[in-house]
Amino acid sequence: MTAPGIVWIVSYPKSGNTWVRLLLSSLAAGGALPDLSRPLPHCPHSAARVWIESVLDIPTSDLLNDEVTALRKEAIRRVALVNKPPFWLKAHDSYDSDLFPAEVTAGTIHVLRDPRDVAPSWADHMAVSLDEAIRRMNLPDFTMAVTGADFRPQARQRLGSWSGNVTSWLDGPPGPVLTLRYEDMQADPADAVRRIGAFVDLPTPPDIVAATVAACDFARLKAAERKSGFLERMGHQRRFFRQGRAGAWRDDLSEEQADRLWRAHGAVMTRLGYGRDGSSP
Amino acid sequence: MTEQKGGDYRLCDWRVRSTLPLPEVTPWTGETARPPDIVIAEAELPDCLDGPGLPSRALMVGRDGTVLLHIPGLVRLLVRAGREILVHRLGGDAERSWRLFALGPGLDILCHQRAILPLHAAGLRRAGKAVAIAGRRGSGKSTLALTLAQRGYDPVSDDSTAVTADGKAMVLPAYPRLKLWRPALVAAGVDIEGLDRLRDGLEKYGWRPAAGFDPAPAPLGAVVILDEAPEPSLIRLSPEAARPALHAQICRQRIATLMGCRDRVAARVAALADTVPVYRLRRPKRFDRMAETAALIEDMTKTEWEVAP
Repeated sequence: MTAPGIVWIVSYPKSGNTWVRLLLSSLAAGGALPDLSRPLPHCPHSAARVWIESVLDIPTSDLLNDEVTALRKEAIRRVALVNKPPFWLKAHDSYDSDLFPAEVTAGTIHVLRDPRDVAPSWADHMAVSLDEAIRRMNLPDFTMAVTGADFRPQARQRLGSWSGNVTSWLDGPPGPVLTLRYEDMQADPADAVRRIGAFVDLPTPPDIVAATVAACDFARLKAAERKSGFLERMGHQRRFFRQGRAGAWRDDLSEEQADRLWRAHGAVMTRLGYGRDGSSP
Repeated sequence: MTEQKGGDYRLCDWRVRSTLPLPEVTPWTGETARPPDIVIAEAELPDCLDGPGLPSRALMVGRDGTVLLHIPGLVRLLVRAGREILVHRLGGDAERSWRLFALGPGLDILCHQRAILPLHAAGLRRAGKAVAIAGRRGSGKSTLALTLAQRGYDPVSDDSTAVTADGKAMVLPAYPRLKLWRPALVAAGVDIEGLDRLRDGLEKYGWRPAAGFDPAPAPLGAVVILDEAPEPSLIRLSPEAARPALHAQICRQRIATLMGCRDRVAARVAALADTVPVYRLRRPKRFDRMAETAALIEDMTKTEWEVAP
């Protein structure tokens, strides 16, 4: 992939987006672990006001949601014109051709995770019950970071339901797409790093791949967060890097909760190879 | 409803003639013979400028340092030669919200054009001097300023504080209003009834002190940069540490760079850091720790400014 422009790193929340950004940052740094107490280099969150403001130098704190979104679009277009590739941007929104314009897009890395493993992590992130997280994952018009009653540090993001979000990216974006499943990344992280490197035109010699995998190993990330903190941790969270285990839903979810997710998302889960009993082809 | 007329105002010690009303700004009561320093006027504005600024519909900088700022769907501002802010209200609630932008980023740009530093800070007067509470957006400047105002400090600016840095560092008072979200007002025990809501759709209000407002410039006595930590502490920075810390608090730096004033800004920041005490205030961002945090600033201003008997 050699086209100039933005490589989007997209996913439903808590699906491995940050892990991919860490792998990318680490790979670009020759296998070193990025400083978790600072913003990740080259991988800003495209909805973060602090990023939008840094690109445009226009304050957003007195703006309404639609106005912040309009400036977010301006920032995305501007950064695509100004920055030399590689330039990677994170997003959790459903695909929207207006927000992710084809003319500034070089490609998309789409990260997926079994929604039954997303739910407990998402509940912890939002500080809500597991049932509430599942309810939100099932809402077709779920939107987050709506400023109004209080200030939100991110622009409003239309996530949609888990199924809606995932399929919008499976069917939507123009240009090359690299789809990664969290479970596959965990089973063979070196293969994931090689595929990511090939996709964004970063060299992947074996020693650098091995160093990148080691640097972003979950236990290493947990230890690094304990030591220096993680800038992206939510204020109420004890830690960002929580469990990161594929299939943990068998312990975390009741049968009824797993069933509720399956009823809402079984069709898309089947399409992605997530079986009802947790089998994965 | 016919709109009120504008008039002449005193803003940052300038005589401002505005064709649009500026209700938050003090009317001009100085000498009638003084010509206006700044003109604010409604105008039809283009959607682009010819110049080296990078193409963006949100922000353009012309070859002569003129800046066109565009909040899509709301307002366009053209800031020119340090003398003029032209306003094109596009829609939405721009009829009244335009001032948040003209007297916010518009004024910052005007300051850069006039070689004045717009410090990302709330300014408060106490004992004849001003303290600037600086910090990035969301760092709690206005909330701390409200606590200090409730303890007898007089707010002279919010969000952005104009500081002259050629020779003696002086704060140029804008107007006494703090913009605060409902939770901060509630925590401070302020009755929201009767406060101006800044925008429909945002629980953000303008708070004004009951006491009168002194628009005369005040020597900048200290800059306090906000940071977070579990326990409150106030530490004075060395001039070497103060320079980069202060530089990070200058508003609209990228725009200033596109306008070609990066070096001048750096030189003025260095001069400021060498002459004005700069402190770092680390504290927990919690409403229930505001009093002890404010007390640290009180102790500092008392010790430094108010001569002991």
